Amino acid sequence: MSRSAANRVPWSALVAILLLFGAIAVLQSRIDAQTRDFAAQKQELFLSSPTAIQKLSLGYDSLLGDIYWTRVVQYYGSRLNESHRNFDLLWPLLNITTTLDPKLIVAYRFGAIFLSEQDLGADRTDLAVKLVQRGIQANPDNWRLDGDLGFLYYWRLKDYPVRRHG
Amino acid sequence: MSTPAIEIAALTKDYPVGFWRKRMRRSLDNLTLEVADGEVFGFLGPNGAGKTTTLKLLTGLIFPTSGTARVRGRSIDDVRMHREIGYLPEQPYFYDYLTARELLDYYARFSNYSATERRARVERFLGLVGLASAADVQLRKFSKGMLQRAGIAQAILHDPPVVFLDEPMSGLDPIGRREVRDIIHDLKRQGRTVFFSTHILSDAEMLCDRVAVLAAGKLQGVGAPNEIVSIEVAAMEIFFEMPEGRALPAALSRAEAIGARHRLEVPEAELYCTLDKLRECEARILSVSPVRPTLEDYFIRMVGKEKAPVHALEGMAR
Amino acid sequence: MSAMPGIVAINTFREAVRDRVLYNLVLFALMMIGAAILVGQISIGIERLVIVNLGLSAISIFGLVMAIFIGVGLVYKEMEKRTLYTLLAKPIRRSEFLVGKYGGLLLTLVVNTSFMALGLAAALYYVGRPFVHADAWIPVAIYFILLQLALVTALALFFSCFSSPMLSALFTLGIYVTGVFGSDIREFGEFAKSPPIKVATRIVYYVVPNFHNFNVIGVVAHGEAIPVSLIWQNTLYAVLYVTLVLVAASAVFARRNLK
Repeated sequence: MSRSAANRVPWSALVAILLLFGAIAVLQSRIDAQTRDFAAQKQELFLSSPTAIQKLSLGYDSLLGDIYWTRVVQYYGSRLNESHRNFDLLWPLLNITTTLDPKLIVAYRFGAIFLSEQDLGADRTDLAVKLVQRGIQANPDNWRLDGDLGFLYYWRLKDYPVRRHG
Repeated sequence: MSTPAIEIAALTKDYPVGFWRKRMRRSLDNLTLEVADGEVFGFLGPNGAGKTTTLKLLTGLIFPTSGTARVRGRSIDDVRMHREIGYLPEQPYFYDYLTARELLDYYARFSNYSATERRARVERFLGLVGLASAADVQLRKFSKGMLQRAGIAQAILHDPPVVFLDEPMSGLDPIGRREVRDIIHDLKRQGRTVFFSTHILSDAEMLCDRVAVLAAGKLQGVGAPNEIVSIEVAAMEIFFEMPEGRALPAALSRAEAIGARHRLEVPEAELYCTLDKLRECEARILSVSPVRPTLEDYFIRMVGKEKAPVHALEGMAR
Repeated sequence: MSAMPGIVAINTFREAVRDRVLYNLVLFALMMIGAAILVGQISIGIERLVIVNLGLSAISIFGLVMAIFIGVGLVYKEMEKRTLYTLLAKPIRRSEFLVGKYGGLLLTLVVNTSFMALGLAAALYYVGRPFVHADAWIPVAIYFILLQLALVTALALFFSCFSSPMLSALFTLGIYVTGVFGSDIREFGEFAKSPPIKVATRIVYYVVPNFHNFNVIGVVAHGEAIPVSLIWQNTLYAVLYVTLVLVAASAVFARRNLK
């Protein structure tokens, strides 16, 4: 084979590949447009058991916890933009996140606010309390979580006696 | 009487074969042999006779089923024995990401040389085997013949008193083969013991003080080359050309035509009168050479069996 | 022990260095660390946490891949390719050869891990925070990762002495996963009713290397300290276990007939 033949770029193949990619991209956006409604409804958790996920993480649970925290933020942000704000998955996601990384303070604090929030949250103060209590257990030195618990009792539950002892 | 360089006593090797590895195939059967110090010893036999098995047993790559062997007085179990041997395996493979120089340098480190001495040796032996120009080429780019040369170099680099060579001529062109023959001659001159296996008769005849013949795992005979492979020349072969326009005389009609040339085989006793006939018709003689029996023929005669032995024992055992 | 293992080790290291695959793996790991910076920016409030988590996890995972990938071929390749023939004809014991191969791969892993660790340090530096006191524990986490890799490499080498790379990789990975779940297996045994299962799980727990001991990525990511006693204990554990595996490998390899 002569040197020029060996170095010749297969132009026709490249052009064909580019065109095909273009066609695939157009097709994909069509598919996305049609299924956008479906996708909005069913954001599921494939696995909902925190302990199962922890086992599957093979020791990389802290990293997985970070990833789930990212999902929490994205989930919340995406729900905010919708008309019918449904925050059903907020608790399971936070549950998994804090099981994987019990020291992720920011998750507890986020949960304290947005699990208990009525309009802009899940409106489940009981779950918020549960989360923060778990956080205090795992991080006894963190006084901010105590404050969050107090906030929950005072503002949300109007439970003054408990707040006094908290 | 000095210690023999190599003493082999009833060395036997069985390989398990079959799917469940239950049956045993005897690859080497009770080999007993001695090689004297400074001898060049040829180990002859057809493929699968057990030559490579013997060499692998002697170099500690495999372990005997029974029997013992000593090299320079040390048992083959003793790792210190390896200081005194060099080994060229059949179809050598090396780390192909190394260059020839790096390979020899690596192997040289297993002997106690100073850095300068090691470098000097590597250069010398690269030159000796004709790899000086390819010294910095990676071995993965080497041809079979070049690998063979590298293999020989690493086998003799540390001046071992005993050198084991498994088919040293294989893969070499005629020039290479002559070079290897010269190397073996040189080793003998230096007083080393050379033990090499081959299935090429003429090499053994030219080089060896003594040869042993192995077939089907058993020793068939030991002795000087002319005792074992004694040349009973069966016939003489004459190549000749007829001059332009002349036809083949009737007396030589048995000759077979190969293109413009003719080949005629005659018994040795009739050689000279055939040559006379050729002279009369002014034929041009191209060559006259003995037709040598093959090694297989010798075995057939020696062992007295109808068919040639074996059927790649070693290949099967792998 | 003589200098023989060292000679083999340097050569093994040289082989690894000339293997392009290794560069790709290190490159991937560095890319992951680079990606950690991006991920950190979209994870509100936990930038450092994410970088350290992702970075250390990347070093751990890629280190594992390298250890297994190269480890399972260490002895097998030499036997298959028959490069071992000429080597074992030299005055080197088979055990010395094994130790040398092990040392060479370990050296390779240390060097690669160091490169990746530098990448991690660069990533932390890039996001603009000066190093704080808590960062001092990151090298310890990396050291523990190296201890894990030392164990995995020894196992891979052991299997390499007698089984094909694919099987060796499966076995090694299997032991690794079992080792990660070590404490779960023991708990399972304690809750089980039948005595044979209790005994079996106990045995498995002690026999299989307990990789969980070495996992401090989460701890270090949160800037917490690692008890010094753990450092000594883990080191001793690794040394003992590696010695055990290498002795076993030597025993298996000592009388193996080379084809």
